[in-house]
Amino acid sequence: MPVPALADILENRRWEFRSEPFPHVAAGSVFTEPFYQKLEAALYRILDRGVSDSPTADKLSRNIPGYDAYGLSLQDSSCAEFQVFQSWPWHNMLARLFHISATGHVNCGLHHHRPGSQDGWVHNDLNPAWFVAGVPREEIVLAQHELCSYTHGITKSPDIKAVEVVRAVAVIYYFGNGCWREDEGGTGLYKTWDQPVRQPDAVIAPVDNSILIFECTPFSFHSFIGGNRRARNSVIMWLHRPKDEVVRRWGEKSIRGWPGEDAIFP
Amino acid sequence: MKRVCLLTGAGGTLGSAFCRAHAGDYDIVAVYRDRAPDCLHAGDRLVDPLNVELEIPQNSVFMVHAELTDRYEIERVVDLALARFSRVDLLLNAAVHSRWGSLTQTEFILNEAAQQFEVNVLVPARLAVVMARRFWRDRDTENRKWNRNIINLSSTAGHEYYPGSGQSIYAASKAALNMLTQHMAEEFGVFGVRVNALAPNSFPAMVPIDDVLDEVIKLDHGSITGSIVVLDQSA
Repeated sequence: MPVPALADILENRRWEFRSEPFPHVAAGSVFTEPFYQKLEAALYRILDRGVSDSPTADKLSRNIPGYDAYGLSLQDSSCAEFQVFQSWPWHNMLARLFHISATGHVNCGLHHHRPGSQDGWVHNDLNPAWFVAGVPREEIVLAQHELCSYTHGITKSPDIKAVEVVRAVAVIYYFGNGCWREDEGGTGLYKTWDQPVRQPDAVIAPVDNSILIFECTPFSFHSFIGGNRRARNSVIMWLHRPKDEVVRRWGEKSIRGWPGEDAIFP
Repeated sequence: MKRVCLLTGAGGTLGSAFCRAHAGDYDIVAVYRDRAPDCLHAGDRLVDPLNVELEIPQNSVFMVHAELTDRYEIERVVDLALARFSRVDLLLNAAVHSRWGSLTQTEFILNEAAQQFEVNVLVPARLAVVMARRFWRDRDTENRKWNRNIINLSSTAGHEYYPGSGQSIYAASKAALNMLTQHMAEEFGVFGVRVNALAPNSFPAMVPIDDVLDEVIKLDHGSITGSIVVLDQSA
């Protein structure tokens, strides 16, 4: 299935670039209704496969340690509808929003929170990331979790080389959630890392067909806020930038490493 | 020229909805405590994702973070509003402290009773009085020309008894706000400022938020004063 032109599928061309509590972009009615319906139908096909409490390639599964969600990488979803999120036009559009020279490395997946999910924790997403090296420059480089640990750069075999980059832009696209009520959480945005999760400075509602985008900086504090009465679904993705750019701007210590060595290869 | 609205409780359901719906019609000073309203702040902008350099006309609101139970904060808020826009045409008192529960089976209802009265009754009164002393009191002709007024956000709980709701202190505070509104209408009418209360049933559960917003606009552009306007579709 060819990836449609963004100009043909973007419904809303007035996205809100907000400054508080840190710079972020929020928009509703992102895609046209027909395209949104395709995305939602693809999500329901995946949900129909069931969810798994252990990492499973083609199912939403608990593959994020300590996080009360089920995840599935988009390339494992086998759903062509999601290709737009892994395309150069989408990548470049997001990078231009924040005037970032992104590298073309993309990690992209689905998140599914069951009703009554627990809160996440306040964090900034300014993390290192590793991808398989040597992919031609003209291609979007997707995370290949089965070959290279995204979080630690450990590869499945010595002949596979990894390249290190740093998360640059985070995206959450909300869909398949139905009605949302104000007391059902959302994505909290914070001025500081030590604020209680339930006391955000702003909350992004997980309204269907809406999006939250922000540059990953030392100050982009955010968290999943639970309390959801119904399941909550989203596409989540990150663009990346060269590590030395982050070191020059914020210092090496600003890059927050991941706990443990979680590289598990089938 | 846009009317200038000083809005409290801007991060609440009504406040956020008012900011989103009417930032084009009003210059809004949006006062919030816990959560900023879900709308464009001064300094925010609209972007076309496919043409980020394009300048898109937009409406934003002037946000002020304040703890209005501190009376010096009330003076600061009024000073900021006047410094930013040079006048206030509508004071929309929408900040609410709402705690429900049994008087006899809980501690928090009585423990927070003073706070409920503080936010629901005294804050609107203090804010209106500071506005009057700083600006409205000696401008009666100008006030009438601009149809300046105050809208206090009340509730049907202020005049209807809802059995088993645990609204005792909350309802009492709204009843007090209703009486306060009528007395304020008399005193503020001397210098041409109208005062009304809007008493909707629970929104958006019982009354659509758009209906509440419409009533706010009708009151602001109308001529009545000293009224408690009830909005209750269950009646």
